[in-house]
Amino acid sequence: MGNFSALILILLALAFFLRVDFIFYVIYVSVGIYAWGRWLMPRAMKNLKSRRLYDRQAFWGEVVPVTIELSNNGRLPIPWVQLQESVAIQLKHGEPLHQVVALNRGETAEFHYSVIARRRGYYQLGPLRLATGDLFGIYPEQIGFLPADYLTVYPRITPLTQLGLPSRLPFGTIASHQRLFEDPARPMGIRDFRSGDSMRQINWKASAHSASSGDTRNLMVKTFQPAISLETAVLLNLHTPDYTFGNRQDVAEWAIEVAASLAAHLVNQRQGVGLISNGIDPLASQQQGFDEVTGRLLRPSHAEIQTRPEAFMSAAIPPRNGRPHLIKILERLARIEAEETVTFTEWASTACLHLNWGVTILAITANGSEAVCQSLHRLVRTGFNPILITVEPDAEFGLVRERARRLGFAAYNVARPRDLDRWKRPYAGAAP
Amino acid sequence: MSLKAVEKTPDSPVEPFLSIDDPRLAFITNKWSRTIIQPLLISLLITALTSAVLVLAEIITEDTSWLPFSLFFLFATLEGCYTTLWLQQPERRLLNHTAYRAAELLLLALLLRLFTWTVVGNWPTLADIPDMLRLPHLFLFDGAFIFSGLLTLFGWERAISLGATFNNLSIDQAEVYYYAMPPKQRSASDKPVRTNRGAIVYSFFRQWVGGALILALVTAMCNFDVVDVYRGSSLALARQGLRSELLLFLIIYFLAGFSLLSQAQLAAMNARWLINGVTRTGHVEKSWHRYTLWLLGGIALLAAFLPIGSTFAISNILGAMIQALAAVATFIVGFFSTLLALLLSLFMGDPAPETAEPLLQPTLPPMPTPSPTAIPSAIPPSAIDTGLITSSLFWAVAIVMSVMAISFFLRERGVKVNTAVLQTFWQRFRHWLRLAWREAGSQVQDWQQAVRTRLQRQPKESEENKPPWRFIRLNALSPREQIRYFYLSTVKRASDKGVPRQQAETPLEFAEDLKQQWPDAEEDVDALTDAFLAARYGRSPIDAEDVNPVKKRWRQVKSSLRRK
Repeated sequence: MGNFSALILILLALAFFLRVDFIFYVIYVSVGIYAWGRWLMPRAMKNLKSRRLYDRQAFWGEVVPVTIELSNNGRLPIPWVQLQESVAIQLKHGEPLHQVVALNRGETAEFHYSVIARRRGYYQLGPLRLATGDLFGIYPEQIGFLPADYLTVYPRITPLTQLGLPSRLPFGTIASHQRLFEDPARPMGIRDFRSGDSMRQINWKASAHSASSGDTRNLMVKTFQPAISLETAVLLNLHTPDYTFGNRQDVAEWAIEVAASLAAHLVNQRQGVGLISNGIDPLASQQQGFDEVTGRLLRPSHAEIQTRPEAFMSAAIPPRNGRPHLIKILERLARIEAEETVTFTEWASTACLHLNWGVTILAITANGSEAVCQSLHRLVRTGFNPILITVEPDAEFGLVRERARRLGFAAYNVARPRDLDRWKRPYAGAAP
Repeated sequence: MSLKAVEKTPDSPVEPFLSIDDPRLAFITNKWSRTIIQPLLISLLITALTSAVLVLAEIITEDTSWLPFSLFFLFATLEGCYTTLWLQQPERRLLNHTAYRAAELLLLALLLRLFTWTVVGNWPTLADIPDMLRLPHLFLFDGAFIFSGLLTLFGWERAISLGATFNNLSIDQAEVYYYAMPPKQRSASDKPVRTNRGAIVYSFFRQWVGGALILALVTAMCNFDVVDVYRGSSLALARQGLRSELLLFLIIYFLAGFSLLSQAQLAAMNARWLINGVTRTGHVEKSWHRYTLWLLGGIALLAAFLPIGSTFAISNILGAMIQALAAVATFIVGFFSTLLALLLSLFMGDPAPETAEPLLQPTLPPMPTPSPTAIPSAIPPSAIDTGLITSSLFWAVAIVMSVMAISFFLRERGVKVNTAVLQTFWQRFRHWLRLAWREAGSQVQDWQQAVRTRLQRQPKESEENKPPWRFIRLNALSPREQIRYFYLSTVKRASDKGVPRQQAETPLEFAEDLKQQWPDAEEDVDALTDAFLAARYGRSPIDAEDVNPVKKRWRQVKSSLRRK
């Protein structure tokens, strides 16, 4: 439209030269139309209000509906508004939002689209690009943006039924076969009195009832369900050199999924769970950016991490119970990334210093090397109850298990999803 | 692809090809805009432009019968727009567009002829028909018909051009087909060529501004008393107020132009949205039209109440600026020319003596043929019959072509013609033709008789019926007639110079008059007079070689006459 002005000027010059007074009317109309566009367009964009409505967290595989509300708060209608929402490829589900609409004064339009949570992560939704213009193409288009929002996709959680993990803490809520940990709050039944039974366990009502039936010598005592308290900390090793180079990324992802599944199961069992990891949280970085293709939060550069690895490592989450706490853990697991930070052997002992005595530590790491076992042995000696869970396939895992047994802790190899099946079965006894 | 897959292809459900008029695509192909609003606006725009010329014609001719032609212009432009839309449909690709346009033009010409007769009120009577048959140009060469025909042609061509412009702007079927498919199913070979719609919008804008320039010129001419200018009294330039009709046409032109600009923008945006995969929701197009209407109407109404200033001062300033520029340019050119002349004078000798001005070959003025006996003899009697045959041939070809054009035009539009009615008309036409032929035959006999009579008349009687003025091809005349022409043209020129030949004056007496007035041409006048007397009254044959000396004398006399 740049040349339009020149053509208009030629017309004006000719009209002035020929003394056509009517040209004033044409000038009024032309200037009026131009001024209208120039005055209205920036204000129209200013009066456009938009917001994004959606659940900010999503579980793996979940379809998240997103609603965008666009309101014209001005006193004049807007002939057309084009809106285009940027959605990361990994979140795309169905047709993208790319529409044009006319808005009357005070009108609100709603637009719906959905995203799908295919991979854990911290994603950017948007920004929403808004464009509007005049009816004659004289004034340039006005562009506006609704800033981006964020969506956290939790790691995949495999539902578990029972873990059968040992504990040294009595009076918990998890049933146990160790009679030592009978919980008086969990009455299970009655039996005949035996010599040595505590007088406080006699069920006097049941004894009286049996006496009324003629047998006066039998006293009945209450039996209790044995229970343990399984306060647990998940010690997740995401130090990349500890993982085999070839499939490092996939195995680290699997380790995170195992950690999430264990944490979810323990919270469902009303146990306190904490999370300690030597992976990095990209959100801890001062400069946050998102990958243009995948839409995921970008991690800081390797060199930046190497200068101060502890600054990027995610802070420990102490063991607590309850679903809000689980959400906190899952959010952290959604963002966490494997990186070359601190080795497990250097980090494990210091990371567990703040934990209470007797806490069960689920150490999830790539393999059960001797150094790893020695580190866990030190934790045993400190008074914790470590359990080693390795996530890389290991043909000679029997040796690791034997080494762990000798050092005083249990070891499991969970290299594939089917390895979790043993914890999916209905409760049938202690774990192997 | 495996053989099985190939075999299965015909059985698989084929995606139906979406027509551009498919209701499912109405939201992207803006059917209402294309078929109703745009043709109407284009017609109004062009009609306003051509009608402004009609207003000017009314002012010049002081005749008020021109404005009704606006209705015909509106019809012609609407017809042009709709035919353009119709021809652009894929079903009409095989139709010969040029032939169809020619037929359309012929039909419009016929309708305009009828409309002109109706408006002017000069329907031909039955008595005029023989004359028309004999002289076909009487049918065509009518001032009102020619003028309105030229304007109709201009408006019709502009309507076609603008119709094609907006047709190019709108989304075509190939684009609909390609971009309506999901991206994964699109084939690169089907991808339509991208149209630079921004350039098309700009092209429309330029055409609109070009029309506005014409309109400004017409308005400027209407502002002055053109009749006075025509009469030569340039000092009587008087500014006049705009006529209400012209004001209306001006307002229509500019508002329709702005509306069309908005339409063009909408069409370009529609295409952009389709290509970019933007989904249109709600009522964008309706809102667009409504908003344009309100905005243009509101601003136009508001502008009507604003004071209209005078361009007098600005005009003077512009005039002064142009004069100043011209003066500067003249000075620069003069300065450099002087420098160049001075430079060249250094290298050149004395200036050559001034040569005599070469004798220019004069253009022959229209001369009355003084001798009626010679001119009619140049046209053989058989030529009358040839003219009649030619005119009959013309009418036959014209009628056949008209019928073919109308039938072609209507047949392609799906209009079925009742053959019984046609046959009736054909019978009547044959009857009329037969009568006309008889009438023409009797006319020919009359003319032949008249010619024979004229040939037998005395020269004295012939002189009374002077033939009309006409140009004479000198080389086509015989030597005797050429010499007579030289003398008579000299008589005519002398008469123009104030020395007329009296009725009773003999050539020798008149030669004396000429010699008194132009003494330096005495010899030439005598020689020319003698040659004329020999040619007019002598019986001896005159050869072609005898003409050249006389012609030389005639030129000398002519040159002498011109000098006085």
